[in-house]
Amino acid sequence: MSRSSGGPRLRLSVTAVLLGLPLLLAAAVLLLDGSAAAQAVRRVGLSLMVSHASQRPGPIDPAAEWLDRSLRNEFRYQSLHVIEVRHLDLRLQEIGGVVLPTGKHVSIRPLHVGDGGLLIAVDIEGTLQTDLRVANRNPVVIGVERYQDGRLIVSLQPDE
Amino acid sequence: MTSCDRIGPWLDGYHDGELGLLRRWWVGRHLAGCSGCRSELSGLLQIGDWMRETSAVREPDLWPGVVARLPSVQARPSAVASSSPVRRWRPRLSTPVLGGAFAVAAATVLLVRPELSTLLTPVAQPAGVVRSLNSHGRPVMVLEGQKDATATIIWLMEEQHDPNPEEVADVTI
Repeated sequence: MSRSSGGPRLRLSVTAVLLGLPLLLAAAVLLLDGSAAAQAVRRVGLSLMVSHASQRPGPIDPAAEWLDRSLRNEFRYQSLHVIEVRHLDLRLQEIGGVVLPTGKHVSIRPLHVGDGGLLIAVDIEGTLQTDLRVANRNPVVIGVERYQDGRLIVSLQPDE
Repeated sequence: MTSCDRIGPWLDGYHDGELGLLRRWWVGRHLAGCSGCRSELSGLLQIGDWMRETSAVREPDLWPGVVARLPSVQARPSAVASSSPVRRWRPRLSTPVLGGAFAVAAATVLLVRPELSTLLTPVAQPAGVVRSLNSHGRPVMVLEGQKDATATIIWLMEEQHDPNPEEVADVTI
């Protein structure tokens, strides 16, 4: 007896929950859309460093020690010094950058911030266009071109 | 000295995974365009396979013995589950009602924000750091960071030809 009277009530409440779920989902999607709009005004910070690795004997710039650790097993050079460090604070789609000693412009444009990290477009004038998905604090090192007796290196590192 | 002569001494190391990232990249680049070196590498692979086969010892199959020693477990009777009231009406609710509810919800979202239709289209997400790259025809080496906080290196090469091994052993910057 008790089972037959409880059945319809239970059925009604579970039905209500199941029908309500899609509506909750719809509300969540609209909420996420709001966060996407908020992302457009979000600012992202990243460090941009231009350095010069050279065959000329000399010191490793203390500011480029992490870069030296990344490169020394793969390349042969005698010295490494930092030419310029710039911290960029950009909105999505905003372009920032730096000019290399050779006169070439390096442009950085953040495209999206997501779980996989920061998606950025990098354009080195007449040399390289690339889109990179960079996780927080993970650096990207670009060996660009010969300069004097070595090579210009551009490195990027998003802030945490 | 041909480029094959230069790359040849590295094939063993390439096969054994002992080369540095950069040298590995150079060898891979050479192999892509040289059938002679590819067949030499394939010979190394065959020798490796043969060595593994001849040195392999057949393990005895212990599973039948393990199964024989396991205590027998009786299946639970399904009568309890089938007599539950929830169990009786669930199939009636599932497909059409829920499907309709989701359709109404999706239509509501698209009515309010039609541009969100792109969210319903699955987009393939390529893995890795470098998503696209145009180096204007210059050879470019990409060494993706393998672990957290390791650098991804993109290196634009100056020369089209294969390098001298002494140069590549420690590539000049």
